[in-house]
Amino acid sequence: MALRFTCTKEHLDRALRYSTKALAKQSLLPIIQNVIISTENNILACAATNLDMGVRIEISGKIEEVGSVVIPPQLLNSFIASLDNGAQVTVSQVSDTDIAVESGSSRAVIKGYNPVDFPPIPQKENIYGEVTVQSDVFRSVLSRVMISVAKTEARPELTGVNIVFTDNTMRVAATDGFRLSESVAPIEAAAIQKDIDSIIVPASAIAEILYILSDSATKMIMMHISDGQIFFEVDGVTIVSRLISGTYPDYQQIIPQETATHIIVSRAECERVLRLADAFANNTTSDMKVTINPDESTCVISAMSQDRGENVTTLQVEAHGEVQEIYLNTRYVLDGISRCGSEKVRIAFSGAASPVVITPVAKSDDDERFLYLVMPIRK
Amino acid sequence: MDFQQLWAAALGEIELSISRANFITWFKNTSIQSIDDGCATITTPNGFAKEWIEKKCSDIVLQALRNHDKSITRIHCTLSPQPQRAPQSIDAVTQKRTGNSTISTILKKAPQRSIQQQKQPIQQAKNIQQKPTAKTTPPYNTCLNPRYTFSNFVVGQHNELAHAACRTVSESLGTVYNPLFIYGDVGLGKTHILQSIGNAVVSADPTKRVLYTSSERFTSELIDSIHNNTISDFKKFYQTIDLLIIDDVQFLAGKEKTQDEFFHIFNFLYQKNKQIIISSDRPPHAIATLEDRLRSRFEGGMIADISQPDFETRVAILQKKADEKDIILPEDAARYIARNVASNIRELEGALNKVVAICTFQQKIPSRAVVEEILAPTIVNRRPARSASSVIDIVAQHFNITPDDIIGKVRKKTIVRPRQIAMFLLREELTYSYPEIGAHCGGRDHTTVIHACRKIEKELIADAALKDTIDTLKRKLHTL
Repeated sequence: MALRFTCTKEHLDRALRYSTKALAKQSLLPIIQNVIISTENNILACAATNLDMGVRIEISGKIEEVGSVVIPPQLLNSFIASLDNGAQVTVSQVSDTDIAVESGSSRAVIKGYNPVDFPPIPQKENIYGEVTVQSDVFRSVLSRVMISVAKTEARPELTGVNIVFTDNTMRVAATDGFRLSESVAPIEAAAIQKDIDSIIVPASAIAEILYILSDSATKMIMMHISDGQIFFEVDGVTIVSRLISGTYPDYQQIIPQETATHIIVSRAECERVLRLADAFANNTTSDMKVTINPDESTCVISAMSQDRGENVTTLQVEAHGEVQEIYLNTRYVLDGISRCGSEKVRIAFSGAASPVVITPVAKSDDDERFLYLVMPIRK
Repeated sequence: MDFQQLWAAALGEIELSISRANFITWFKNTSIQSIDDGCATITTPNGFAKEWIEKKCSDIVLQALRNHDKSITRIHCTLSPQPQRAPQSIDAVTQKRTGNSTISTILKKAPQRSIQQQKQPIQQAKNIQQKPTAKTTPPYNTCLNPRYTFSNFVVGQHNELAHAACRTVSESLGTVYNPLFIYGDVGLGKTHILQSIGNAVVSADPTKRVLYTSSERFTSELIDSIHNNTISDFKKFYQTIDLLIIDDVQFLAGKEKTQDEFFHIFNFLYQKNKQIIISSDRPPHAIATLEDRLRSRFEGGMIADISQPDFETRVAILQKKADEKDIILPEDAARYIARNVASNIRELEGALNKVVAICTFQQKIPSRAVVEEILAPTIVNRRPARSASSVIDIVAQHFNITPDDIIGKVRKKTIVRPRQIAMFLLREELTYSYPEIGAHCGGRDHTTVIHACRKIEKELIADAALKDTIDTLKRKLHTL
């Protein structure tokens, strides 16, 4: 039982990059700050976990001997970073805990831990639901909502992304109590039992998948949902994460059904004006005043702070409905508008105390929907 | 034996056979769900714990369970059941409260198990582990750190009143000084002396229920209990306590509901002659936004302060700490540290720790020269160059007047007083000569300065408010 394999620098580097993100930053158990590399069952794979999430990456390479090792990834990273592109790396176990790494004329010995103590990564079992989604669709809907995930732990269910599956769509939402993002997209195939159609996935797991998708050319991503856990499979990488228990707030009820006023505005222009307003807005509250006057087709955005100065911009917009005056957080509005992705955006108001809804004005054949909601600031 | 007891007993055994880190990581929040036909089903909070228990230590767990229940032949793990995902009550939509700026206030919070509940099994396991036979072990955590005792508390002039009061209280609970209010600056040993009382009481009579808590924790427990609708349990728990120690009570300031609950618990315990001990960084009357009824109650008992230790006490503390660490600290080295680290005891200990660490590492004896070399960089930082003008600025700022007022000729009472204090501080802190001080304060005669310094010195003995002011100013000077 002494592991030995050879693979290219790129493959090993990719596996280490992915697994380093899932490492425990600090833990009672020092061993889980390391990665496990194993050639068992004739599969060369690298895995890491922080006990909330685990990731396992299959590496293509030539297996010479079967075994496993647990090593700190930083040293191995430094070693392969020094190699030329395309270099071949041979890793072999020299004792229970230590490995030797060789490539060309370099050789290194890295001290590690006994793999017996490494926690096993959970395996798929008791799967209740399986969903397949195109990876570019998955990436686009989730990266749109991630901005709204709560940053604090005060309400655990808001630290994740809510995914609701229906027959052929998935509805993804995140909120931190001040704003809400929701995106709906089609799914390729789904086999789900009804009682788990709504899940909350920790934001850290989603961030890891988005990172992997960002440099992968794969077409599809598979999700397997089991009791309290979810497995994502993409391009030889398996991510397992706990699901956040609890009920996601029924946010549909706060989306206003009727709007009093709406404007349609160019996204680029609106972003430009908001950035300017943000520069003048009060540093801590970031508030601005938005006044809509449909008779004159104007939207006036003004921001001021006691100690810095003030700024007023009048935008010519397509406006319908009543006159509105509302205070909003510039950054929150900017976050929403910049994620719309369309040329024009629609902003709907229903009074100074009601949430503002931002939606892209999409082409009719677009089957992905996005909605962003911001709560107003009370003056 | 029900499942909970059985699991607690088994956990006690499991803890002995695996490392502490492993035990805490994998067995936290676990429980027995059912025992069917010889198969015990254990619930785990996450998939990793399930895999670990099933694959790595099922033998140990099974053995531990079989020691208590021979009928068990297998174990099986399952993830803790998810709370029901019932559709939410939608009372909020209809309300549509105008002007709510956060979604949180509209959306109802999902049911969540309280932290206390989740911690339970491990807590029980610990209790059984520590004293398997002692029935007297209180079934809750006293939160006392056994490291703090009277025997390692150094008594000096600065804390002898507080120490004597605490000693008396620990010997006769609830009868002499109740409540006992201890105040003093950070790092002067309030927590140490408070916990010493608790430890002394527990070791003399383990049946006494002692609770040490910070006001911050008190508040968060209260919030938890309001949130979980267990407020009556919360009150009941506090009402069973014989000795309640609340640290850093100044943090209650401004929290009205907490003050309210604390007031009722306080009254209840006080009526039943249970001892209450409170600490704060300032006297009761100086805590802003503390409700009057609480303030008057705090002031109704014994108030003792802990001030900054004098030079001799600091040397004694250093020697005691050095003894505890089993190292030899020469007299002149101790004097050097004590002279240069004056502001608080925690920093004194920090300086000593640094010396000890470096000396053990480099295998040196901590002689005066070595200590000086080690501490020189930190001490230089701590002693900024102070000037007469900075002293005057600080005094002026404190009394809300301008430095020119102090230097000027105006002889209004509101200005004369700060002027005298500034002169006093220049003499005390910067050891300027009288004529020098006179020159800095607008060319006054040295006899004026002498008069000012003597006046302040004399009043300091009787006037506690003045002493507070001077202390505050000195602190500002030191942190300049």
